[in-house]
Amino acid sequence: MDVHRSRFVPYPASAISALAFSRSSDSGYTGPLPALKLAIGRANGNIEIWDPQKGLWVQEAILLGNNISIDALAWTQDPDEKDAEGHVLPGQQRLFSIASSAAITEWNLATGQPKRRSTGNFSEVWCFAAQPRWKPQKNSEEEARAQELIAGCGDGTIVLLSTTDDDLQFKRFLARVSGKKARCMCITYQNRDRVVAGFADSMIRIYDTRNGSLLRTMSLGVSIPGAPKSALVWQVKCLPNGDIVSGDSNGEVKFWDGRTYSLVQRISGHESDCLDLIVSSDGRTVMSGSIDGRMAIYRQSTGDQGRKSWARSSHRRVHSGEVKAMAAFDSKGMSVVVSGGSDLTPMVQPLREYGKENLRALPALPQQPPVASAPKARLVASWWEKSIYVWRITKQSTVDSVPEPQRPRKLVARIGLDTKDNIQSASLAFDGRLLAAATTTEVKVFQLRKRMELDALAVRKLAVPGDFATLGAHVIEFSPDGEWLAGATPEGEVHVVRITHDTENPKHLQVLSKAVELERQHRSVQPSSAFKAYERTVNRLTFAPDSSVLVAADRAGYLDSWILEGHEDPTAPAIDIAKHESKVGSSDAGSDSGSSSDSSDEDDSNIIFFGQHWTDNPAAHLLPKLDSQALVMTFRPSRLRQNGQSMVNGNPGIHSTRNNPHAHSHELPRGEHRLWVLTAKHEMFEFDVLAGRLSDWSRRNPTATLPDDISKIRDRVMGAVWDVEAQRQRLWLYGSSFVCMLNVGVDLADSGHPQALTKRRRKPKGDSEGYESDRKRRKLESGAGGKVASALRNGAPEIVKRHEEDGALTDVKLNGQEKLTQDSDNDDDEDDERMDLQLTRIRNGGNDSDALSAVAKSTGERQWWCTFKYRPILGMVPLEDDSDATDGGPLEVVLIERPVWDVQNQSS
Amino acid sequence: MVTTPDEVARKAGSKRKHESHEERSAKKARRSKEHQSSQSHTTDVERAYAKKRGRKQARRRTKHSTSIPSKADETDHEEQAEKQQASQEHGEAQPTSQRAAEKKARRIAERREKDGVIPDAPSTHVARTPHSTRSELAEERRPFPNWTLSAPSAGRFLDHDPTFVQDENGDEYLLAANEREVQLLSLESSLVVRTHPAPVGHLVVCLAVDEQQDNVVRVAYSDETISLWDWTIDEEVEGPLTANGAVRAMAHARTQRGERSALCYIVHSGGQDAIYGQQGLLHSTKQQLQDILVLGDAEYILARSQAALTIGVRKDGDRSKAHYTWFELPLAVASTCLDARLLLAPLSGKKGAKGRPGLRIAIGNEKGAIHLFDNVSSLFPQEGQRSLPPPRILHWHRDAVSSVKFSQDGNYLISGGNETVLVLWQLETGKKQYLPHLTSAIERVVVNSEGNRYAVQMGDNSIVVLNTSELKPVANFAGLQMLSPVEQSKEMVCHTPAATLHPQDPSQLLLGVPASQPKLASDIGVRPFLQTFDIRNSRHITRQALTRNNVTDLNLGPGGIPVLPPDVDLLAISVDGTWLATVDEWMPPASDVEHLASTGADVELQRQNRREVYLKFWTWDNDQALWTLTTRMDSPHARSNGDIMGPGKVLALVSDPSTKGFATIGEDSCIKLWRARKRTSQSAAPKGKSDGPVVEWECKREVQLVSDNERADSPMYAVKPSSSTSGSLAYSADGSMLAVAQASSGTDDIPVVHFLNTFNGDVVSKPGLAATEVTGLGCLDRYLIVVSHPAVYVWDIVTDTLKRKLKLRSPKELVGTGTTLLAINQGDSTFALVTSQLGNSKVKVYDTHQFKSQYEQSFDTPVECILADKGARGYTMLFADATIRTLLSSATPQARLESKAKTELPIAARQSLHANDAADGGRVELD
Repeated sequence: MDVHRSRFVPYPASAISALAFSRSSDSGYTGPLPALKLAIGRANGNIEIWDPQKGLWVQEAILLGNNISIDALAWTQDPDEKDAEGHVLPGQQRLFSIASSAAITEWNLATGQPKRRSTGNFSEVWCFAAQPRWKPQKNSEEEARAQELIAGCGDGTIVLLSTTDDDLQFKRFLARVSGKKARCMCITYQNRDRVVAGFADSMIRIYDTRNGSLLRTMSLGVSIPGAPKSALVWQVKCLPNGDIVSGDSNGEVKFWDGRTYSLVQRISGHESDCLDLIVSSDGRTVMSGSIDGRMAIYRQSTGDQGRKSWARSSHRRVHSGEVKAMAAFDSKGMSVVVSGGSDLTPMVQPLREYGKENLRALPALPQQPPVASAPKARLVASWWEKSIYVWRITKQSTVDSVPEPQRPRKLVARIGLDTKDNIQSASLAFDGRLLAAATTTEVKVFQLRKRMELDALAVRKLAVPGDFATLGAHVIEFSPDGEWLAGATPEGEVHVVRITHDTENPKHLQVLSKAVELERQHRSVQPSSAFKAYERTVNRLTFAPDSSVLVAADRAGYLDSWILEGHEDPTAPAIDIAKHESKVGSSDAGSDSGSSSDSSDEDDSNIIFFGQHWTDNPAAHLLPKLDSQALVMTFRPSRLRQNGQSMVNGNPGIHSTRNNPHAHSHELPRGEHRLWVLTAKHEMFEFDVLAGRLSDWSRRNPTATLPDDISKIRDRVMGAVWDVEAQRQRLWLYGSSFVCMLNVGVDLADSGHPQALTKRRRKPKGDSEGYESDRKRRKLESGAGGKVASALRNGAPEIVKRHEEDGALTDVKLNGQEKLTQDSDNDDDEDDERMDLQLTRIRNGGNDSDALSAVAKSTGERQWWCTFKYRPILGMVPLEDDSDATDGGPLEVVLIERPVWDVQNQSS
Repeated sequence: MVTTPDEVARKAGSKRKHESHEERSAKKARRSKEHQSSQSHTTDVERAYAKKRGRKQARRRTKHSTSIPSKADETDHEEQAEKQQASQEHGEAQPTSQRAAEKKARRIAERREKDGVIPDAPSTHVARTPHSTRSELAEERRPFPNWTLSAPSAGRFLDHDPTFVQDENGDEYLLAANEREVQLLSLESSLVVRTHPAPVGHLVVCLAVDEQQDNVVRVAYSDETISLWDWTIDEEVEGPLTANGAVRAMAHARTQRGERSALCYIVHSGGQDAIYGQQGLLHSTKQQLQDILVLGDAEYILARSQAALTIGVRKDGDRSKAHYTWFELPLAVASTCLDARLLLAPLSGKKGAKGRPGLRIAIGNEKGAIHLFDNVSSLFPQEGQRSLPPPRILHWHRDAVSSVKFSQDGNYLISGGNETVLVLWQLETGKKQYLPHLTSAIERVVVNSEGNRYAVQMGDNSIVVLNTSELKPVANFAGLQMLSPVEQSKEMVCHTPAATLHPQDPSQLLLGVPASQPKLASDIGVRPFLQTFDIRNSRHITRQALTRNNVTDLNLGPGGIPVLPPDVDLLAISVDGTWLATVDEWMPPASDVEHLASTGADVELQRQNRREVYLKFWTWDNDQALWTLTTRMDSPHARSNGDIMGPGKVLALVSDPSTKGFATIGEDSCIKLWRARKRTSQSAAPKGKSDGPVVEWECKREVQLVSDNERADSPMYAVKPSSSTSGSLAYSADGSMLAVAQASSGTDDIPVVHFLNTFNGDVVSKPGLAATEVTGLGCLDRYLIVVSHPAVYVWDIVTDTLKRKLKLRSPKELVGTGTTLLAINQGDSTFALVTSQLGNSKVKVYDTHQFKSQYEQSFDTPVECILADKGARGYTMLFADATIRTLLSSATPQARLESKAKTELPIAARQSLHANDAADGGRVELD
């Protein structure tokens, strides 16, 4: 494989400024638990939504902002409701942010756009907090109430806002503190009715939200010598028992009694400002982060005469810049602290298992690579904010051998989009003639042409049909033949347009004026989801290599697939709109597609482009829901080039007749269309999409056959590149820190028998390094990095040796957490089993299970390979030899890295 | 002796106290036969004790300056010995024998008068444990009646926590020990008040004070015995108990109800370490246990090894029997120190639920972190899951934490390490207070029972006691800070101590000392400091820096390589004691020049090219009581190979015995004579002291020695640049002649001794004065003593004949690299030779009459240095264990006078000598 290691892409990165978990703990939930999300706000206004997945940490979405730094984030959940049958419908989770303005913004998670801004005449909001969730009291028929928001402003006012009825309304001013330094720096709820606010005049004030009365004022007291007289209260937090913790600009962490509002203890936590604090759910651990990048942990202990006191347990420099924001989730299974600051990287630290598990740095680069390539034209495109950059990469051999070497790369086009929002997604056609870019509100398509005189590209904007252009898209994708452009709108719909040569000017391309919406299957959405619309948003689209199959995947893990009926017929009308009746007719004439097309009933028209028509995949309903969202979804290139495209003459179009005014072929695409999927949980499947079942290869190679070295990788996979030649079928996968190769042409495991595999799965104790034990081990972790080897543990031994009477030594395990964790994971195991069952069913549906071992004989090739040499990786895209040489050359890829030093230079 | 009412009261108090002691001994009596006998005349004993103690206290208080004999028994020993012992051990000005005799007589008379009969119990006790020094002395003295060897003084404090004790008046003392004896140090006077020597041939290992009655201290010796010493009456109250192995550490439990407190100790035997208690073996383990702590009512026993912490928890139930459950807590980083304290139970104790008190443990480790386990009681639940909350990590120290202690109230943690900073951790708030810039690395910190004083034992063999409120020193005890020979690393250059005696005050020893004693083999001992030590009183006088040093600064380079100060390896003092000359040398560490060198040998060359050598002249400043630098000569000598730049080594430095002047010889075979010169300033008056002229030093004469080969017209190819590796200088007594010898590495040349006329700079060279390379020279009267390896030659330089050839030892003994030290005492015309080999040394003293060995003595510890001084008779020896012994001659001073007359040769004779030498130049051959 030829790798162009590229570091020239100046992808801007931006510091973390806010962090929030959708809930801080599992306790207090009676019904089903809503999915846990983490929101990371950055200085460029972006909000990343992460799914912690019990420690797998997948970046699910980026809500693009407008370059105003997110100052704080808060989640609320609407009150639960009951449907007619008495099932509890969980309230929807809502995300709010503040960004250096006098407004609070609510975000539409599904579309990635701001939903609404708060109203009210108050000054710049500095901090805000959400009211604790309403908990039903015993013997109380009180109506469930929505959470309120409380905001502290720069002029010392405190504002109460209501989120009732899926709205955000100014409720009233709670208080107004006058004075020059009366800026409200931080605010938190002590309970549902009391708020604690820290001010820049080194005061902490307690208010009752019901009547707005000031209950108590607490002063930080005399500063340490040399410090300014008044300290800033950077953060206040409340312990579960009501006690208050504050962190101030002197680096001191103070503990206040929650009933008497008096100072209990002051601890010099840091040598510089303490910017943020978090509190564990049991209230016995506090962590603080400071401006010098250190984080300290405080624990409560019992001293002389049973007196409880806090003490700084240890500290560690976690960030190279300051620790701007911290968020904690502390529950039975997962217990982590996420922190972020100017060094871009979110750091996950264990909270309960602090010191016993490693901390982990999450990738700072987006999960969906903002990189695309046109392999044939040797173009690489990258985009951020509102611009797209296109480079041409010279072939390595020409750089070396030609007497006047060409420059290895050249920026051939820079396209600035005149859009309101930043670019969500972009796509390059395989031959490099087309470029499409999408924001959440617009889609733009450009034709790229080589300019003869200059080594640059001429960019021509194409007209895009109105609805397709204005709906915007989350993902946009060209088909490999460059004739189709599919886009997934923020609302979760999939639209396809046809691109063709302009009849008047053959050099020009045009987008046909009709876009077709492809209907997604109706699914019974999981009733317990608190992110209904969000989860059904399509975030992956992929075409089969022959452009005849389109698959869309959403965040919940559902797959939708459509197929292109008929053959391209240039003689047929470009757009032929068929009425509903013809649809019925077509289903009669079709082989077996009618059975499943009930979903498109209400559609009144079919649009046929050049005799071709997108229709539902008849086997679509057979494809199962994945266990999590698909991260990589790619069709396996067929080994033999299909020559169906060239059969225009051999397959004349079916012409319209009176009986059949919209005649077109109903022939389905032939051949196998194998879709290779890797989910967020790194479960590996390959589906035969048209048959609606697992492929033979996948049946022989379930996820368990993934080599340990690959399944051990914690970073999630970002993308895949195929390397298919006559002899080999290799899949190159990459994540932000790794590149690995899977030889999918042969079986991964030596013992390809599913029986053997199931045995291996069931065996409670496999070899210690085996896949299963790896999984188990990870389950026992609390969500950050792996266990720290006991030799490296800082004074917290795992076992203690006990001398028995006979002089023997026995090991006594300390801190028995394992039981708890296993218990809490049981439900999740069941989930897995259900999934397994479903898969086994389709596995057994295959009839050719005898041919299993025949193919598996590997020819001594490497089955897999893995490297951590390149990091952090922004993206890896394939290139093709532009010379006329046929295949046989090695795979050529451009690997775009963003070295840390580079990123930091840029950001500073 | 007049008895004041105050003393009466004190006596009464001591009597009361002694009664309790008697009860105890009654209990013990079953086990000890001797005690049965002593019990038989209880009343007598008691009375005797009480009176003696009263008297002693009175003496201590009234006559502080006079000595207090260390023994309880003052029975019939030779008066001479008594005097010797007293004067040497307790460091007072040597009394005349008459005064001592008078005093002694008076004392005995007093005793007879007051006690009537002297009880024999104490004397039996003495017979049981014969005490080293005295009997040793008696043995030693017999064959050499004219020579007396003093008992060792000075010494190095054990690496053991000193202990605070209080007498009944509330006066606080510190109990510390060196290998030879246990010392009672008075905080009031910073003096050693009383000592308790170890039995002959054995060393003190550790001590433990009984918490319940702190007048008794247990002392463990290297002979696997433990004895009980009552320091208030200076009495060994309980004979040596046999421990079950080599004792490593001891601790006493604090008991309630006035019971006899339980002793716990660690012994090492048979590859295993075991903890013994009053009831016998409690626990044995393969871990190498080092410290032991017994807490509460022997509720917990803690012992530390590097890799694990062993905790014994007493099982509930029968309190009389000690049953413990033992846990081993593995420590990931090697631990270096340990402290623990009990936490009081909650006040709101639930009915009857009298739980075990909590236990708080602090462990310091090698990497500089202190792990503080707030409460480990969750490790020992009755049932259920054992757990251990992670410790608090207090990390300030850069290097290993040497010592960590809880303050008495538990609110502070006090720690110290190599950084010379005492760190006080305020546990509640996390704030730290520092006491920086202590003189040396901290090794031990101890808090007294009232919590108002810290004793800090430091790496320079001193203990300073601090007041906790102001952190001001209360008392300071400093020993001899001589560089201890540890396992030597490659870069360590010179080990012969740079030491000299002050010519005006022979009791003052000037010694080049390190900032802190190197502890590990990787540490490099260099001596940037000068210590002035009073030999006679065994007291530290001053200490000052002679070179740059960074004791209190960050002394690590970027690569973690220690930044080393220069090493003072030569030291001489002028005749009148007003001028001090020092030579210090520094080379960059090998790791700093590795990148410049291609081969290993080249590294050494590169280091030598970057060598810094300074000859410094210091004058004594009476006002400040310090030596102040007057002149610094940069690179006093060149490199031996002329074409290589950089300063060369200075091989020897001697002081002119007649005038204020010094002579040096360097590796360039050059002799330089240094003289002071008054500066006459033409321009502005120099900014010196107004009361005297400014004096600066210059090289008055520079004599290049001609190599033997060149002189003998040898062919050119034989001439090779040889670099001298050692050189010796010796002035004649009147300073008119300087004898010079140098040894070169790798040449088999016949050694040549050069004679330099210091007046005109003429050189007469004489080969063949010794067979092998000359390692030392000395002039005594008309004789030149030439030290070479197997033999020492004594030449009469007037007649130019070999007077005597002294075989050092039989060739069989001289297998390894032995060293021979020479000291010459002009005062009594003797010279002493010390031959050291394989860890033991032999001293022989010769006189110029018969050249017969007048005195001979072997020592188990190597003699590092032997010094003689003009004013005094005899010699002073420094031993490797930092002890000092003096060898005094009581020979009639006539010999001295005679010899003096002989040395004063008339000028004419001297000139003829030189002429003679010059004439005979090449003729003298070796026999």
